[in-house]
This record gives sequence, structure tokens and C-alpha cells, in this order.
Amino acid sequence: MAAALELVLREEVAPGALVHWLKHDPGRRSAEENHIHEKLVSLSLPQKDFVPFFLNFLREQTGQILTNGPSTPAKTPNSKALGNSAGRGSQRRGSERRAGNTTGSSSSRMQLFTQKGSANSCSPDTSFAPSAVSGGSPAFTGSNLSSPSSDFPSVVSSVSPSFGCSPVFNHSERRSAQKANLGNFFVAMPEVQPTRRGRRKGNSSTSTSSRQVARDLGRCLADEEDGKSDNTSWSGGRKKRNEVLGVSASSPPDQLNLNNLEEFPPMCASSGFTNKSKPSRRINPTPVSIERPLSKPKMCFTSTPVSQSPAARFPSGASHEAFVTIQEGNVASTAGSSLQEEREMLKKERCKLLHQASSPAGLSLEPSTPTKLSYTRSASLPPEGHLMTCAYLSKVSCKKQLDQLALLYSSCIAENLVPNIFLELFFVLQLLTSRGISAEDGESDLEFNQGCKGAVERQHFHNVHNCVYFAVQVLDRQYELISHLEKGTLKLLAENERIASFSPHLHKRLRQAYESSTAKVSLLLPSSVQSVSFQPETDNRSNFPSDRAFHIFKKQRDIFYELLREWEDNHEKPAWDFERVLGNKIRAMMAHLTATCNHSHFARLFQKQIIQMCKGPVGGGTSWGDTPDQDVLNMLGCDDLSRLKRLQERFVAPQSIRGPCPPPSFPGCQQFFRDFILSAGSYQFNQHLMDNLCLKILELDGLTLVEHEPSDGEADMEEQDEKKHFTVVLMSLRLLAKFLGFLVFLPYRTVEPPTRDLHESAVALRNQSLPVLDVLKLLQRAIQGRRTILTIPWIVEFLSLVDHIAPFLDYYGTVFSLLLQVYRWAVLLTWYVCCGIGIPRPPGFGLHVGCLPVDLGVSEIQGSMVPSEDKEMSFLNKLLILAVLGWLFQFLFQIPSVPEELFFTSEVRQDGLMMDTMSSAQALDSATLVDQQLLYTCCPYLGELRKLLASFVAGSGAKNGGFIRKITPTAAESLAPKPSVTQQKLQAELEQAFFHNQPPSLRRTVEFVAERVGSNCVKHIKATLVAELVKRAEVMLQEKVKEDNTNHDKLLDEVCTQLYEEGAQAFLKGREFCRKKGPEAVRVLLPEETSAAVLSSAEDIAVRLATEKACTWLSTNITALIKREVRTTFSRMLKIQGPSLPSEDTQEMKKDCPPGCQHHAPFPSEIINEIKDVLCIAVGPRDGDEAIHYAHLECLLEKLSQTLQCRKFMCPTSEQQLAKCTIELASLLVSDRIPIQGLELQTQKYPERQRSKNHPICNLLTSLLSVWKEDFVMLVPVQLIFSKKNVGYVAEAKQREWDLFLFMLHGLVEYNLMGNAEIESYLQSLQEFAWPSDFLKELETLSRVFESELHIEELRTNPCELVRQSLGAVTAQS
Amino acid sequence: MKLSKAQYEEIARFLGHVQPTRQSLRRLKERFPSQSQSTLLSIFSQEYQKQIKRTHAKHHTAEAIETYYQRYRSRVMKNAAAPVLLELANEVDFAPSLMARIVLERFLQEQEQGIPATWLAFGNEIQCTWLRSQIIKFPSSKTLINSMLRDPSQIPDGVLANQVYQCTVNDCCYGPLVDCIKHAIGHEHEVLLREMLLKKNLSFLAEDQLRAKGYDKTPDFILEVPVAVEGHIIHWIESKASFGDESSHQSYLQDQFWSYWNRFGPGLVIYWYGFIEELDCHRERGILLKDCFPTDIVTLRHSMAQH
Repeated sequence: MAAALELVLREEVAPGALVHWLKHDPGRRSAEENHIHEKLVSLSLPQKDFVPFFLNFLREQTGQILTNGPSTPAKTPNSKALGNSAGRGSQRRGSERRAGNTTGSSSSRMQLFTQKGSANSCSPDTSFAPSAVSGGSPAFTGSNLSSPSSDFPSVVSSVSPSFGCSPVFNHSERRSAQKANLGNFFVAMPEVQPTRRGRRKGNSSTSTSSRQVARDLGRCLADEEDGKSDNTSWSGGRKKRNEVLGVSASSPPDQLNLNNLEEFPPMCASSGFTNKSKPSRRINPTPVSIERPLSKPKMCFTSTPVSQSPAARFPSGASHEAFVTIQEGNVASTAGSSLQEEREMLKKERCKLLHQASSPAGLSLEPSTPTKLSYTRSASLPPEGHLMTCAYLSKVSCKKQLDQLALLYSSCIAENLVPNIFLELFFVLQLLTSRGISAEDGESDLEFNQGCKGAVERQHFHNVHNCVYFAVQVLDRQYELISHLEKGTLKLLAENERIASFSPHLHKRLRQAYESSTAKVSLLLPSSVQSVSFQPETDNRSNFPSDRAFHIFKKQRDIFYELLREWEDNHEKPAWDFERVLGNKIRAMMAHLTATCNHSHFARLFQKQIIQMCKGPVGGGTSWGDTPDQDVLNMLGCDDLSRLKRLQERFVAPQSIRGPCPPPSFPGCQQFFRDFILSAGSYQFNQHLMDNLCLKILELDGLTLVEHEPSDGEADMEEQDEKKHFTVVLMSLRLLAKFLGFLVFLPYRTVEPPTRDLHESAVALRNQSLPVLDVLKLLQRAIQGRRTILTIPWIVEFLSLVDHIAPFLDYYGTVFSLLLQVYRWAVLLTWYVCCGIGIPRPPGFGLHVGCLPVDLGVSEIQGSMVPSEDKEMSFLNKLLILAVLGWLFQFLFQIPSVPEELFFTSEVRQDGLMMDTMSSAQALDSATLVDQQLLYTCCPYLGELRKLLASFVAGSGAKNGGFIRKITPTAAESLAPKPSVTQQKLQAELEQAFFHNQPPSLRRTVEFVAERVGSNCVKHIKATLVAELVKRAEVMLQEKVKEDNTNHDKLLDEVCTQLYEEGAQAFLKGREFCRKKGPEAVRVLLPEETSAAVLSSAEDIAVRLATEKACTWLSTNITALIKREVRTTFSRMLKIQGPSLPSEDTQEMKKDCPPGCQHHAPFPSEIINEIKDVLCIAVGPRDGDEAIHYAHLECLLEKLSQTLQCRKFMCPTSEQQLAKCTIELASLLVSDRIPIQGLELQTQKYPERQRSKNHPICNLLTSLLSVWKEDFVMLVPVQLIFSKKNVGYVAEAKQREWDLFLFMLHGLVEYNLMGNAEIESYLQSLQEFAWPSDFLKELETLSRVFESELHIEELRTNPCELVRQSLGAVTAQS
Repeated sequence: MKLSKAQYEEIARFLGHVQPTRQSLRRLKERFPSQSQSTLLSIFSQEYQKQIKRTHAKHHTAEAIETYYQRYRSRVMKNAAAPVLLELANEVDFAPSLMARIVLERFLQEQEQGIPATWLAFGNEIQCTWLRSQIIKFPSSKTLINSMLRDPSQIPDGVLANQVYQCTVNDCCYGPLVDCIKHAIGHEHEVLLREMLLKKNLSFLAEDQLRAKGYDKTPDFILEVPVAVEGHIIHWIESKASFGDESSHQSYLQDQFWSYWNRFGPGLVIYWYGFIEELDCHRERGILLKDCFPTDIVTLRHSMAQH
């Protein structure tokens, strides 16, 4: 590989040709046919190894200079083995991180692709253990290196298979000898001994040494004949690097001449010399000895187990020492070889540690930054004061080589040959902003690289100037890409003084890009209502098999939300533990669900709730507190919401991102759902949930956007709607897919990677089962249908949760390789052209790119077509796909034992993804759907680029954490609350809330109507107003042309300006149109039964949205539209010559009550209560003189009447009770049981009635009778008067005055409440009870009276007359 | 009327062990003249119910029942006109209505199943045990007893009928009359609320409509078009014609309000007779408390502009 690079550096082969070589498929056409450069052909190297080699080469070369910002994760050298098994989550301990950080300060960023070596080997207990296997190898390899006939063949071979390990990838088997370990990427040349790889593995396993690899390689190539001991050569290589470090650590030049090749011979040259010179030191600087095995691998790309104790690795003492030195390599110059110097080194080291400790605001505080930002930076930073190194174009050395490298690198990026283009971009920006201390200016490049035989081993990046130069070169070539980044990043790039000074041209372009960019990104989405609303269609009783099931589900729903609320309240408290607090509750709930088979209902609720709560990009971290506090709003005096939002996200959003390649996680609310699933541990539930998720995913994946005629005007507007819709669907899909992936791979999750045996059997077993969701088919379909922009992002989310084994299954292997094809292919179409890289293109290059058959065993894909330029994916669409795929690849490589071949395999054939010709609505890829907002929402880690740049601007980044956020304080006078903002916000919320409990179709309808009406409105205005204006313009123009036929443009402008004012009418007309059409459409589309209020609100919202849409479009486009129309007309001529207004709300009036009732009557409850009080007193016990005033009773009856008349507040039970109570009251009155005050007064008032002192009571009774008769609606059970109890009162009446009773009975007849016969029969039956004899007699008499009255009644005489007569008779008798 | 927790506790302390009679109520009113009567009554009732809940079990042991019944019988023999049952209830700190129920039930057992009252008093231990189990096992039909309590005329024994009636009328916390008043009050406030909603032109679905649609939990009113009250969006309104004290509010939250929230989103609860201020702590999360119909209502602007 080095040879290939060498050719480029020597300019014998153009980078373009190399890239072409990389891409050509040896299997399909011969090299000649493909126009491969013959020099490359003659090297006969496997192409696949070049890119990893090259990337490592760059990391290696730039290692010591890169001190700024977090290391690109890919460059952490070691052990993916540790990584993914244990690294997830909590295992990442501070100490580990710290240790790793310090070690890694330089080393960790060095190596992009280390071998994975023993990743598969089996010791589960410590992640380092595997290196025991490989650990030996460095030593042997060393020897092997020089002596091709290995001394330890067995070891080596035992290592190699473990590396290749995947039976699925049979090529690995085939080449196992070669690819054996670490180096499969680097080691490409046949003449290089495979054994060397073993050594390299050793290198990589010592984190510090790994970056040396590429250089070592180069040296080895050169020095191979020397046959020197590899131990030495190895340490020699080490030393070489240390030289550089020594310089950067500002050791005085006179002390040591690091560039002295005698003292510090390049890698293989030094032989025993170094060996001997090694001091016998055992002091391990703290950072090195504490490895950080678990956390680091997470971030790393490939894996090599590290940090085994040196002794275990090095069989010989000498090499052991070498190793120790190497471990310290980043700080200590081994070359000094004096104890004194080592002490110096230690001092420095300690100093650095102190320095780190003293900057608490450092980046290390950022949550889970596996990239160990602060340490990386501060460890290699010189003490404050020299933080910035100025970069000068004039000081750049070996420009030519840098140009070549930049070109090659750019091409690799442009051709998607790198696994993650954004990672590379991050790396480039690191170079751009590097603060590393360069070698002394005086040192010439020549001197520095003296003795290097090959161009490859030369130090091209030994100073900041070179790094910056290279970075700017690359950036220049990636302009197209970076110009699509969000505005803030562009601003920082445009303001970057290094770019300005190194490439004014690029600077200018960036400025322009910044100025024209509209790509503002905000990472907070508006919040929504939180619970899933109850929808009768799916949730009411008829959806359940039994009442019990329905009832239980009712409870489950409530329990579920209770759990959710508890989580919400407490999960951030330190001692709170999900499983401990909620685990049993959840399982109890699951048991209930199982008992009633309600899982499917609950799964649906669960899934809906996930979407409801987690759609937001930050995973609803702030969840229901999302909306800013009212007080805060007022306090800030924000005049618009967006400003507040921006401010808020400055506080909240950026901090939550973790490095440029964070592992998949469940942030915010998603955590609840994940933990819920885990705690529930219910097979049934999981299955139902998976079904549910699959269903929803399939549904959403089938999204079709409203087909729009790409006609001139409103394309803009409709695009907006589509984008919005698309965004929502995409975000939901990603979310659901992540959970599906989680569930699908959950059973296979293991903490430790499986041993090889287990691995193989697991693969064999699992190859037999079908996937839960056929992502492969969906992916193929998406590619065919050109809908990858929707499908790939969620498939990536799904796959990001694979377990250790899954990538090795045939099925997922196929999926990955298909994704890889897409990744490669996504570029081929335009990128190359866009980037405008001046790579000489061999004939045919770039032409064969279009269509390649997907050869995956599923070859039903038919119909091929080379995507024509205009139909291909939009740039940002592609960017999104590349970003997510890059992230996935990057992440996958962190899984131990996932072979990088997955990515770098040359078997990715670039000939044939085929697609159908689809209607434009189906083929989402060609629509411009993705904007920066969506891109950054899906890939928040892209924001790291901005952070990096920002920290550079901030200058003393190490001290303050680097990311200064400037917040402009708001003026004091604006502190007064501005209701308009809150009102505005409230209105927006109200509108959202309105839809919440309505069926989803309502919202869809309203949105649909709004969209259509808005669009139609524009059309209408074009057809009427604009057409009219154009006609008038035509007339005007015709006249003017006659006058002055010279300056048409000016003429046109004049006329148009006149028309613009009239164009303003468009808003009025638009508004009118929407107001008219919107409600009509809504009314037609909504169910007939929709209530008036809902209908009118829906109409209003539709009208408002439509008006907004139309007016927004009109306001930005109307003048342009007029102008364009007029111009067309004019040229043709020359050839021949807006918020809504509310609609009426229908009012619903209540019936009942007498006309004109004011509903001021006392409440029934009051009356009942008052009667109750009277009854209490009557029934007793009562306090001595307690009595009721007559007037009170009178008044009570009056109120009773009123109350009964007003029906408003009456309910049947009240009325019933009133009836009963009043009868009771009547009975008590009749029997004189109520102590009444003021009776005498009453009798005096009416002297004419003096005959009977009972008259006042008769009045009351009459009132009662009247109320019973007139005011009650229900039938009053007056017969209760004859109940034994009530008659008993009468019987016990003290004064034996029963005339009131008689009066009462007659009244009943009089008021037609009872008939004489009825009364008579009641009286008869009463006689059967045992009464006092006198009362019994009375009853008999009464009975007779009514009997006779019955007769008289039959004679049809006036009843009133008779009553009076009989009353007289009765009184006479008694 | 909102009460602070301290205010409320003062009232609750005063209520301590008072009997649920109108006399107690009068004293309460005199003691706290500034509070509205309905609020006081509501608190009184709730506090009393809490007390009864605590002691309920001890009045329902077979022994207790038997004792009460015997005592009732012997006293009634002496003076049927005296408020025997009521006094008995007061003596043992039990609600008169509930005492009436116990005695009535026992009375019916004696009548229907022929379990003479004397048996327990004079039988041997085995008999007694058996009898006790019978008493517990075969209660008279609930519906019959309820119906007799509602209308004591149905009670075959005239004296007992009067005694029972006296109890139910005098009890201001339990009993059919009180239940009915509570029901009426609840209803009236719902109507009031409905009126206010109509007056404000807020369209809503009422409970019965919701039930007809098959909703499993139904607040009094669901607003078809949500509004904002004091800056908080609400979807539903629940009317509570009682005082919102801690325990009742907790159980309402558990059984009703959160359930509504779970289904319909945030909402408003009106405690017409006031509540403890401190309980209004879920505003942010979506349960708003008021003691009257809110005045600060913001509607979706479109519909507001027309008026």
C-alpha cells in the first residue's frame, strides 16, 4: 500500500488514477479495459487495503500536531473488543476515561484502522485478555519482520483465523493468512511478510505506538533487506515519533538533536542500538497504566485489545522495556535515554495533569465524551500563553506532496471510499484548527526528513502550516459539501482567518455561501400534548372481547401513565432506580394484560406514546417542560418566540451531543420506554409491540407525498408542506425502527462478545430463522423505487442496535453490503461532478456508474435505468444518507469482530443498482426533502463540526471549555410582560390541543384542505388578478413600445412597478378566496355529525392555514410572478409583436322552564336542605324552645314553588325527594307536630277567619296542595300520607284535632290529586291497624264521609259545595 | 374559596369528634363565620366521613351489632317516644343513619330468619358462634334495607320506623336525605357549569354523550375546542360540588383526574366549595384547580373574534 502511495507522492501516478484503480472491479474487467495505470497494475495490490492504509497514514502523520478538539473517534486505536461488549453505558468510568485520555492524547487519535486481531478470542473476563494472544505477536512479529521465516508460526496462525473469523465472509477465510491481523488494511503487498502483521498488531495494541504503523511500514519497506531485529526497529519507529513529540513538548533543541539520525534512527534502522540504550525504567506514568479498556473501544473503529500488562506481551526483557518506553512515548523521549531526562518527562506529565485538574470547565465535563476531549487537548497543549500557533502559507513545506495527498484524500472522500465522510471532515477541521506546536521554523523540511528513503515515510505534517495548508486544500475541494452545512458552521468557516490567509478564493466562496445560506438549524421542536387521546373507534368497549378485558385495560392505561409520571418526576434524582421502583409495578401490569390478552391494545398505546413523546430530536429531554415558562418569557421580554427558542437551544441542545460519532442511545423519554420494555420482560408484550412497530413502520414507509405538478408557481409552497410531512414521517420511522431494532436484537444481546465457537454455532443457528421485519426487501424496494431517503435513515437506526452476531448472518450481511453499495453509489452520481475536483478522468470513468444489478440472490429486480442527471437525488438528501450510513459503519466497526471488510471490501461492485421509472410522487429521492434542519436533527453529531470551529475561535479553548456561547443580554426596558407573545404562544398551543382529542382524520382533513385551498388560492389569483394585470400590462406595453422601442428592460420594469401596487390586492383576494372555499371544503369533507363548534373551529383553522400559506407565498412571489408573466407576455408580444375570520357559531338554546324564566329560583338542594331542617325540628329531638316561624314556612313553600317551576337545576332525584319531604311535611303539619311561632299573629291578621285557629295552617296546606298539583312535573306520591307512619302522627296528635286531616283529604280531592274512592279505600285499609280507639272511630267517620261524597260526585254536583257541606257535617258530628 | 393548608387544618381540628347534627353545624358556623356555610358543611362532612371510615369496622362486629340491638330494644320498651336510636348512635360515636341501618338490619334478620334476639344473649357458646356466623353470612337484602331507609313507612314496626326516620333526618353527613342533597348539589353545579360554558360559547360534550360514544372514563365536560385558562390549556372540566381536601383530592386524582388526563390531555377541576390551595400543584402537568368558573379564558382566536 505504501508503494501505491509512494507512487502518488512521487507524482508518478495521478491521484485520480489511483482512485480509479481503487474503484475498478478486478473481477469484471481487466485492468487494461479499465484503463488502470500500469504502475498500479504492476503493484498488484488488493485495492481494498489502500484506503485504510491511507487514512491511517494521515492520522499517523498528523498525530503530534493535532491537539485541538476531541480526537476523531475513529482514531482511537484500540480494542473494539472491549468496547462494545462492555463499553455501553455505565461501564465507562471516569478513571478509565482519564487514563485512556491521557494515553490517548496523541496516540488515541492516531490510528484509524488497527487490526482487530484477537477481538474474537475468548476470554470474557477482561477485555484485554485477548491481547494475550496477540500480545505475543508484537515481539515475534518484530522478529518475523526481519526474518521472513517466522520463529513463531503457530502463534501467528492462531491469531490470524481468530481475526478473520467470520464464516459468512468467505473471502476472509480465503485470505486468512494475509488478513490475519491488524494490518489487513495496511499490509497489502505480497512481498511483505504476513508475519509483519503480527507485529503491527502489537503496535496497535499499545495505544501509543499504533500511529507509527504507517510510517513503520514505510520504513520497513525500505529497510527490509537490513534484516535488523524487529524489536529495535520497532522501537526505532517509536523513537522517530518521539522525536517529534519531543519537539512539540518544547525540549530545548540543544539538549537533544531529535533529528539526528544517528541518535534517532528511523524505524528499522536502529537495530540493537536502541535496545541497549533503553533505560531500565519501570515507572509507568499514571495515565498510561490505567487503561480505559471499556470506554474507548466504543468510539473506535477497529479494535485491538490494548493495555495488557507489558510483561505479558513481551517475552523478552528487552522488548518489555521497549514497550514501556513506548507507552510513555507520547510524553517521554526515549531517545534521551538518560534518567535525568525521564524525570523531566515525568515532571512535565505531572504538570499537565495538574493543568488539567485546574481547568474544571474543561470539556471533560461534557457527559460521556468517549473522545476525552479535555485530556486530549490539555495533555498535549503547552501551558497557556502559546495556545495559538499562527499558521503561515509561506512556511508550508513540501507543498507538492501535500497537494497530491490533498487531492487523493479529497477524491477518496468524494468517492465515498472512506467509511464516514463527516468523520474525515471533522479530521480536516481538526487539522485546520490545530494548535500544535510546530517544529522549529528554522528546520527545513529536508533536514527533517533526511534519511527517509521513501516519500511515504517523510513527515509531511510536522508543522501547523502544513496541516493547515493540507486542510484548506481539502476543504477547497469539498466546498460543495461544506457549503451545505448549516449557517452557523459556515459563519465560523467564513470567519476563519486561516482559511482566509491560505485560500482567499475559498474564503470568498465561503463568505458567499454564508451570506446566501438560509440553513438555520434549531434543535428544538415544538412540544405537543402528552397523552395519547382516547379514540372510541379503537378504544371503546366493542374493541374488547369482554367487559372484564375492557375494564382491565382501562386500569392499565391509567397505571401506565402513572408510571410515566413517576418516572418523569423522579428519574433524574440520583438514587432513583427504574427497576427497583417501577419494575414490580410494570410486571404486575403485564400479568394483568396477559390474563386478559390485552397486549395488543397496550402495545398500540405504548407505540403511540413513544411517537407522542419522543419525536423531538433531543428525545424530549426536557419533555413536558418543553415550552418555556411563562415567567421566563415575560422576563426576557422576547418579542418573538423563535428568539426565545434559539436562546433555549443554546442552553440545552448542544451540550447533549457526544462526539462526532456517538453510539446509538435512548435519550430523554426514550429511556423510559426502553427501561419499561426491559423491566416488563414480557415475551407477549414484546411480540405485540414488535408487530405493532412493524406495522406502523410499514405504514409510514409507504408514505406517498401529495403529487404536485411541478408547475412554476406553487411548487415552492407545496414543497414546504411535503418537507414538513416528510420530516415528521422520517423522524417517527427512525424512532420506531430504533425500538424495533432494540426489541429484535434484545434476546441476543450479550455483555461480552461470544467466543468463536459460540459465535459460529450462533451464526449457523440464526441463519435458519427469518427476520422479523424484512428490511432487506424494504431496502431493495426503496432502492428500486428511489425512496432511499426515507427508508435508509430508519434502517440505519434499526441496524445500529444489532447484537454481536447479527452482522455475520447471511441476511444482515446482505443488508450491509447493499447499504454499502448505496453508500458508494450515492456519490457516484453527482458528487464527483459537484466537487469539481480536478481528477483526470480516464475514458469511461464516471460513465459506468449508474446501473449495477443488485446481485444479492434476489434478482427479481427488473428494469434498469441509468438515473439521468436531473432525476437523481438532491444534494442534501444524499448528504443525509451518507451521514447516517457513515455513522452506522463507524459504529459497526466498534462491534468487536465486525470485520472492516464490511466496508472496505473490494467486492462492492459498482455495477448495478437498478431502479424503476416511478412517478415523481413515489420517487422521493429526487424531491428536495431534506434541509439542514432535518439533516442536523437526524445527525446531531454533525454539530460537532461547529463546536470544533467555535472552540478554535474561542481561542483559549482549553481553559474555558472552548465553546463560548455569546448571549446578547436583553435590554432592561423590555422586561415588561408582553402579552402578545404569550397570547401568540397560547394560540398555537390551543390549536394543537384542539386536534388532540379529535380523531386523527380531522387534522388530516384540515391540513389537507388548508394545503389545497392555499394552493388553489394561488392558482386562482394567477388566473384572475395576475392575468388581468398582465392584460393591462400588455396594453400599456403596447403603447409604450410604440413610443420608445429601445430599452425593453426598462420599459418592463416601469410597467411592472406600476402593477406591483395593484398586486397587493392579491392578499385581499387571497384571503377572501380562502375564507370562502375553506369552510366549504371542510364542511363537505368532515362527517355530517361533526358538532357545530368543532366544525367551525376546524373551518377557521383550515382557513387560517390556507390563508397563511397563500399569503406567505404571495408575499414572496407575487412581484416576481407578475414580472415573469409580464415578461413572457411581453416577449411574446414582441415576437409577433391573504388570516381567517370566524364563521358563525350556531347557538344551542335550552328548552324547559316557563317563558322568561331567569333561573333565579333557589336550588333544589337548598330547598331540600331547608325542609330537612324543618323536619328535624318536627321529628326532634329539639332544644327547649326551638321553633319555626310561620313566615319562614310560608316563605319556604313559596320558594319551593319557584324552584319547582324553574326546571333548569332540577333532576329527577331532587324532585322525588322534594315530593317525599313535602308529603312528610304535610303529615307533620296536619298532626300539629311542628312547633310554629307566630301562629297567633296570623290568626289576628285575619280576624274574619277567627272561627278556626287552624286557618293559617290550612293556608300552608293549600300551598302544598297547589305545589303538588301545579309545580311538580312528576306524579307526587300523595298516597304516602296514608302510610302507617304518617297516619300515626295524626293519631298521636295531642289535641285530637283531626279537622286538619280532613281538610287535607278534601284538598287532595279538590286539587284532583286523588279521587274520593281512592281516599276511601286507603282509609278503609288503615282501619286494619291497631289504633287508639278514638282515632279508629275517626277513621271510620272519615271513611264514610268520602263514601258519601263519592255518591254525590256521581250525581255530578259541585264538589266544592259538597266539601263545605260535609266538612260542616263532620265537625258537627265530632 | 381557597383555604391554605393551615386554615383548613384549624377547621379540621375543631371538628375533631363532633356529632353530625345540626347543632354541631351551628357551632361550626359560629366558630368560623368568615367561611361559607357550604364550605364548612362540606369539610364537616368529609372530616366526619374520615372518622367513620376509621371506626366503621368496630361497629360491624357481630358483638357490636348485637349489643346495639339489645340496647335499642330495651330502651324503646321503656320509652318509645324518646330518640333512642339517635342517642344510641351519639353515645357510641357513630353516624345515626348507619346506626339505624345496623339496627334495622338486625331487626329484619330477627323477623325474616327467626333469629330471636335472646338467643345470642342466652345461648351457649357454640350456638352463639353459629348465630354470629349466620348474622354475618345472611344479611337481609341490601335493596330492601335501602328502600326502607329511604322510606321508613315500609318498616313493619312503627316505632322502629319513627326511630329510623328520626335518625336519617337528623344525620347531616349520612343517610338517604343527605345523599340526595349531595346528589342534587352535584347536579346543580354541573348545570351551572353547563350554563356558564354555554354563555361563554364554549362547545362541549357532556358526560352522557361521551358515555354513549363508548368512552371508558368520562369527565363532566369535554371541550370540543380546547381553551386556555390562566395560560394553561384545558380539554375537559370536572365539576366537584365539594371542598377539595387532601384525601378526597388524592382519590379523585387517582380515580378520575389522571385518567382524564391520560385520555384527553390537561383539564380543569372546579371545586365549588373551595380547596386547599397547596393541592393546586399539577398545573404545569395539566390539572388545574379552581373554586369558581374561571374568568381568564382564552379561546382559539378565530372563534373569539366573532363575538
